[in-house]
Amino acid sequence: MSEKKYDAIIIGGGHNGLVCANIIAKKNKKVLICEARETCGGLANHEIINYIPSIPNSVTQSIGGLNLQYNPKGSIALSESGRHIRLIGNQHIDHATISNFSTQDADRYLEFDNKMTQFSKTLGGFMMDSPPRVMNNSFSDYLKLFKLGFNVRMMGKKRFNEFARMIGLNIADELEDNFESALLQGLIAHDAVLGSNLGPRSPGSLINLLYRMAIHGNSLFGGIYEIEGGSNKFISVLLDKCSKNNVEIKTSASVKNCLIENDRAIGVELHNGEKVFGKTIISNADPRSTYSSLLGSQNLDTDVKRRIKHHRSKGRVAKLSLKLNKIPEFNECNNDDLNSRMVISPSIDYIEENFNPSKFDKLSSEPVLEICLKNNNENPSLDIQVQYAPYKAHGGWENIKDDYVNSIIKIISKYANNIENCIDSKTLITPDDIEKNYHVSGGHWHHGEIQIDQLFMLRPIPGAAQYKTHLDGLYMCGAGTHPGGGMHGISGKNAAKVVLGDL
Amino acid sequence: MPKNTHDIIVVGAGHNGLTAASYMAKAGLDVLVLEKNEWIGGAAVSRELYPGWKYSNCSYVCSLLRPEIMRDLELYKYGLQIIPYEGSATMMRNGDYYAHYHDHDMTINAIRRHSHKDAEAYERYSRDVLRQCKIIKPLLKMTPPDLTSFKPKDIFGALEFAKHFAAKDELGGLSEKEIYDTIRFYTMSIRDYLDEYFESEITKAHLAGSAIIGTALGPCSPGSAYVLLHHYMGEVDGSVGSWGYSRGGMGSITKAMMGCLEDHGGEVKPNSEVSNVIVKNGRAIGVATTNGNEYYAKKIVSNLDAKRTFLKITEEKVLPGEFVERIKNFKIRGSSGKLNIALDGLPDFPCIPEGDPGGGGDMHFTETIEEMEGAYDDWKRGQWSRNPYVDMCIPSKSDPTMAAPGKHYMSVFIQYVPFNLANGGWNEERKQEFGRHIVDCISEFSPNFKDLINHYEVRTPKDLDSEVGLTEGNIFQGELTMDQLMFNRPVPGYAQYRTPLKNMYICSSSTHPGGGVMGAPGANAAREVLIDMKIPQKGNYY
Repeated sequence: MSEKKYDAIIIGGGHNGLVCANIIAKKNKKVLICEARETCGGLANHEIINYIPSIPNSVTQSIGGLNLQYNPKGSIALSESGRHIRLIGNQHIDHATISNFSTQDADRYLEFDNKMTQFSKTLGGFMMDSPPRVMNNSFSDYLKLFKLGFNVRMMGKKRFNEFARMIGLNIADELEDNFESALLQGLIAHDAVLGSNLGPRSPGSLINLLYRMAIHGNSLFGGIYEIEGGSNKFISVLLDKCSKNNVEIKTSASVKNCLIENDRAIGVELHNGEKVFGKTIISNADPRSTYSSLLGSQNLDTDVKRRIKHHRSKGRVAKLSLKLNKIPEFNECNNDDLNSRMVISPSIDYIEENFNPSKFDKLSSEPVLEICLKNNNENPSLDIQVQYAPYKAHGGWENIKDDYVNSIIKIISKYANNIENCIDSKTLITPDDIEKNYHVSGGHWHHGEIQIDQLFMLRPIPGAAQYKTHLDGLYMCGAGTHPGGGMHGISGKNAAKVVLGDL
Repeated sequence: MPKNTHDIIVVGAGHNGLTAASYMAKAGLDVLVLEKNEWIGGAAVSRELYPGWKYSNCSYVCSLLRPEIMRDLELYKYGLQIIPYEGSATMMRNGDYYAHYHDHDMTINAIRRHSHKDAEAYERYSRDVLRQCKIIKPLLKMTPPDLTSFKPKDIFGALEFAKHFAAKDELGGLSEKEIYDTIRFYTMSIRDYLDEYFESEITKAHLAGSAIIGTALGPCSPGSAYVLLHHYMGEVDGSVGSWGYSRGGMGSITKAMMGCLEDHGGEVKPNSEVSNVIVKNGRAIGVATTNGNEYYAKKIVSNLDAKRTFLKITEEKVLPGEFVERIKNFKIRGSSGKLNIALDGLPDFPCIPEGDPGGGGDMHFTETIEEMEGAYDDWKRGQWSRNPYVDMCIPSKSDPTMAAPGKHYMSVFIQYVPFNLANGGWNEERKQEFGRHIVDCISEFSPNFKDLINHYEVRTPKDLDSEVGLTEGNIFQGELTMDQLMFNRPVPGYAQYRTPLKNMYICSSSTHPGGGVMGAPGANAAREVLIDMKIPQKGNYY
């Protein structure tokens, strides 16, 4: 038995785990990270993600600053006709761009952008902090609820009414009420449903967009970045901080379960039999793994067990990586365009048709794509987020993967005729693969659906929304907790605050 | 003073219009109801459309009608009688069936035949859903407060609303857990909700039916769980969640309301379609009809849906621009059709054993949520569902007044049918094609069904729109989604039954608490009118 006792043991070295570790370690606490894989970083990895938002100030400040260079990325909605729409998140320029398609849309876009920005700011204020519990009879919790209500109310009568209406609305209705260009509708709807299990006509898809805006600088198409040096740079900077702050890191150290004594978590046991003890245990794993593997269902109440069992965390995004021998020629695209986030999502109906089969784990032959061309080294590649790829496909992924990849390439060939001649190799990472390779149950980006019944004080499950699990001494700091995923580290920061409060 | 002057004019003699009219007549006002059709009742109507058979050709079963309204308006005295269902059943392609009964224990036994786990879970499920019914019940007869107003009335209203949620347990309020449950229930899809309880597809498919009837949502769309609640919160003889037939068809409900109204001095004028509201100095002072008459009143109450009320009979220029914009964006989507069938005998449904009470109520044949969602996907594309969800019942089994002895009337409700049919829209030929398609679907489960058909009437959303006057044929007069419920219904800021136009009110299902033959919007609107006229009122709705 190891004699050493840590102040905090963090299970999983994803970006939230690393943020959390740094904040706690900075207060002269002894922190250990147990990472199951050979390297830390989890999903914050160029294999999985293409773009990140800028890390919020509250997070960077709490770990003493992050030295990251961001390259802003424009978005371009590809059209088969070559009449692409390019948006960069600057109101004047975007207004002019859309005017080329429809002056009415351009004016409406400004209105829509302003309205959504205001709503996302209102929500954003609520997202930075740990969510309150209702009926807890705690003054600070009531104050938080009151503040949210007050902020919403202070938007003015007109906006308040609009906000109340929008919470449950679907994005398709809102876009069809405002815009006439199908391509513009398709682009905005794409961002609203990206990473979720909702179609543009599913109620609640609008709040998904607000969530996305809140983490991307409250902007519809601004606030999307690529990090100088690749997505992995974020993690390497965090790891540098860890070594400065004397955080111990064990890699290839997969945790078997939590050690429990007197209804309190006191340590963890690794798969190699080693036991480590700590005052607090913080899980960066997704809620389902945390509860069912680490805690063990024998230690849970029926009610909690049921909730966790039905926690919805089936991923719907696959990542296709195409290694290229030359850059394909995209119709009517200049170098700037190739450098942008290219979206293939020509209309709302296109997305909806794509979403339909995925509800029952079937594949669509015409998927929605977000394409990122990486051309900064000798081997260029196309990194593609494929929307509505089921977690477990009907018929088994192994049997249909190749056909699926080919159908994706066929779609791209409509926009880049010579794509097939440019490809050296293709790799498809399905949600199922994400689950296996990264130990995220369901392979969901956000460790759990972003829907109202799994948000705020209901995230991940009611009663565990304040970063504490149902077991004393065991905390959660992953994307499964409030506010959710998206490479911003807020969950890790909030969890650290709660843990430090208890230490 | 111009002639034809009344205290109140109600536009439209639907069940909500008649409820509002009756309440106001009972309070001593002189009420005139104008109806465009020659028959009375709107969508709660029964007519002999084929000699020898009475069709309830819109709404067909009853549960939501608030018992307080039945008592206040003494509807039983005026001939209303509700016959509860004995059960409901879903037929399966393998020849088996799945049934629910009026009796709880029988239901549990029947479910156990399909899954032991589901039978146990059903207890938990009914408890949770009934709890939600109890939570929502007091809200049905309240006027939603205007959350943006600082008037004392609205602030107290908001507090009253909140009290139901926030009161301490001893006072019957909700615990923290129940608040979370309620938020979840209102925002989840019925598929996710049922997945938390049940394992077998047939149980889920049978229960999910209530969550899609009349709505443009599929079982996978978030918010559909609420629609289920909307169909559960009614009661028959105090049994919450039960459904029943109204003896003599749904028209008996509106007939009874007519009885009450006329008894208290009110009048209904059929064949009087209102063409526009007469506005003078920014106030509604009367209405003009298409046949050239003008009627004046102190208050105008519209039983038409929000779109017809504000875009058709009211001139746009008398309303604030933003309000008109909101109304234009009000979601009101037709998604249902109907077949009314005159039968020469009782069709056999071999799946359901003879004499099984499960066959006495609504019958279905959708076996999985996936089929149901597929039916919805067809609708999204502008087609009628190839494999539709149907809710069919034979009221004449329990109610002999619907057809001659030995003959039967069958009502088939079909989900999903689009208002705007793709590739050219509705015409007589496609309407008949749709009718034949449904008959074929039913015949799969009943070998002698086709032979027994004497006559049938096909109803598409187009017909409901043009004949009954429901915009796009939406049976709820507006989608029941979160953005259009409670203080958002019909549009945020105008959920208090008043409109931007002075002296004009709206009492249709486009207002809180929404559609179904419930009467609550009518009763709530009547209360608001009476408050504004400073007339004291007795009864449950004051």
